[in-house]
Amino acid sequence: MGFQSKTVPETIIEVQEVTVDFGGFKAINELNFSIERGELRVVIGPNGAGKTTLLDVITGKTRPTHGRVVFQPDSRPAIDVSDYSAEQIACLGIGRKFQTPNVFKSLSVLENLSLSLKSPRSVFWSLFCRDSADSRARLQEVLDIIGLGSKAHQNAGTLAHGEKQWLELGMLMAQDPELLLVDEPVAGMTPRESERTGELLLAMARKHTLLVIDHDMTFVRQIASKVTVLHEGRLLSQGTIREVQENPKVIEVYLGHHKVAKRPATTPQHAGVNVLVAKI
Amino acid sequence: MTKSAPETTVPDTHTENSAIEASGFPTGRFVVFLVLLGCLYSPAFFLDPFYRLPQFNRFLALALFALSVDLIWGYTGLLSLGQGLYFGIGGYFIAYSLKLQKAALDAGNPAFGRYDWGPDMAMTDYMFQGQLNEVPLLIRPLINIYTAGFLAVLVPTLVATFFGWIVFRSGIKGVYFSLVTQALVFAVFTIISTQRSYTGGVDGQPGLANLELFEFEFKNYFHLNLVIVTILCFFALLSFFLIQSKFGKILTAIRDNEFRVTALGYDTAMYKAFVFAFAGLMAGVAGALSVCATKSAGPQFFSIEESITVVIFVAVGGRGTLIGPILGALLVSVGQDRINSEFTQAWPIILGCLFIAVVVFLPDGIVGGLTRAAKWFNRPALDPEPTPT
Ligand SMILES: Nc1ncnc2c1ncn2[C@@H]1O[C@H](COP(=O)(O)OP(=O)(O)OP(=O)(O)O)[C@@H](O)[C@H]1O
Ligand SMILES: [Mg+2]
Repeated sequence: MGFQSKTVPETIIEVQEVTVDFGGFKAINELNFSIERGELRVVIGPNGAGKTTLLDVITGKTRPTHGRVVFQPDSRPAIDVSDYSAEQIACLGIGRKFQTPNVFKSLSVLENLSLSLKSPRSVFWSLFCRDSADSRARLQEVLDIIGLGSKAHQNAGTLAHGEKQWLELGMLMAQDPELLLVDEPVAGMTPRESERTGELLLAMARKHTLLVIDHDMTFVRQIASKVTVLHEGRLLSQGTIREVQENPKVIEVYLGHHKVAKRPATTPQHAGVNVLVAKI
Repeated sequence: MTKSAPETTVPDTHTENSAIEASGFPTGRFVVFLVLLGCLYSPAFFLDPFYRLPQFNRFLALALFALSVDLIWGYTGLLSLGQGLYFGIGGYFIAYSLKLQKAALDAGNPAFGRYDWGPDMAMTDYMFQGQLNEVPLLIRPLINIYTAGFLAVLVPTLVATFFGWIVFRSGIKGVYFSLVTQALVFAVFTIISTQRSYTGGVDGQPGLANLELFEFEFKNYFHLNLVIVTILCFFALLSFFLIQSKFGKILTAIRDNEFRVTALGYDTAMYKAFVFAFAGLMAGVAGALSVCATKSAGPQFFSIEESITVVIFVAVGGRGTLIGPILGALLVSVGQDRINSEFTQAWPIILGCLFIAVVVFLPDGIVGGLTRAAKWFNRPALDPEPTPT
């Protein structure tokens, strides 16, 4: 296996002809999609486009009805993720931040991070290990980056919404997987916070491959090099942010939503759509 | 224990670093815990040694039982309504041993020592009444208290491991888990109470011999009390360290959000099976101690009521704390004893009302309520404190 590391394949994850059928409703429909190693890819799409379902399929939470997902870890043979359980996939190097903050509310911020640290996952180890000086330093580093140092011993359940989002990003950093799937990291954040989050993701992208889902176009503009647009479970368009915004199909999909969503007080997600349309 | 400067405004890296170091071991809480455990030794010195003390010994065994339920329910969020199974298995092994010893002593056959067994060893009363010709082969070796004690620990652990492994692997969760555990204990209850000639049936195994270990006979409940309290403290301390370890944090994480733990790469079924097995072991020991304390065993160990009562102990005392279940078991048992002596029928009703009251008014039990009260009283006092060096 050591010999392979010289010729690292370009594609880290490849979604091949995947369909996810929820009792007749196809949340994902014959989707082909791949990401190269080291890339920072943004996936956008209206509500219900199947973005979260795509992440569920990649992480083994939902099994595809048809098709397969191939993950190529660095210096290890490629695998078909449907042969593995969700925890094995996580161990192989796919980490995820969920759409709604998903932290352990009765553990402290520090404990949340410490459980995420890259380390053996066996029961035996968890009984007898102590965090080494290295991992404590790493925890400190992550705490500093996400700016929760002063709340390290506070229960995660008591954090504000934005802080929980940051904590989850911190958990991803501590976990240090090869491929990071980040679902709507700036939902519910102020523009200032979301800009910092963007910087953070850009920093993470230097060492990892990232797939980021978002609606907020200011944010997408800040971080994206390549954008994929999903609509009704299919790939609608793919390219640079400019190409995507000029694509008539994308304009139509978003305009349709725009007309409905324009007048009433907008939810954050619809606000994102508005921004996109405004920019077009 | 150097108190760093108040880190309210600008947290510089140095003070934060010390925050991480300090997170290691909660020395303060540990000391309080030790002191409270130490207090458990004291009632033996003033309780009436012939009536109250054996009762207290039984309550202590129930406290250990409650502690085991707290590990799986309070900490891991697995509500088992069938922990009586493991308690009962542990108890019945010891009961067989003491019952056979009693029969041997009563028969007074000089050719047989206290622990000798063979085809013509003395039969117990229910075996006679069941018209068995001899003590069943598998039951014979249990007359040796060491064999029985070993099995009283081993078998509940193995059963719990096996059951947990299957149930957690197949992803049974929540209410379904509770129902499966209850169905299992009910099946065993039915078997135990109908196979009279092998188990004593509904009458169980009353009138046991005194426990004798290393040629020392526990005639005196005071000595037995020392043993039971010490074993309880041992398991309480073990649980403390378990909860403090990374393993313990993972259990809490599973209770909060199991799917997230999986997404971090932990095999949650393994963790749940492990803690379930450990709880089975503790319940088995608790059953064994309870039988030594009361010198009787009965199929009510396997009754659904027994398994639910222990859950109520934990709920009343405070789930997710280690003192809570011990306190809950002692208080509710004392209450049960007092009320039973006044109005015999009322207890189940009172127990039910108590449970509802706790769920509604004190969702985190007595200990949780006290903790909140303490925080509430401390908050205004702590804030303006100038923290002199
Ligand atoms: N388990 C499920 N069973 C049935 N339908 C589902 C299930 N999960 C998702 N769906 C449906 O699949 C569609 C796609 O959902 P998904 O969560 O992937 O959308 P999304 O692109 O993430 O949208 P959003 O922007 O709102 O997060 C939705 O219409 C949703 O209702
Ligand atoms: Mg989504």
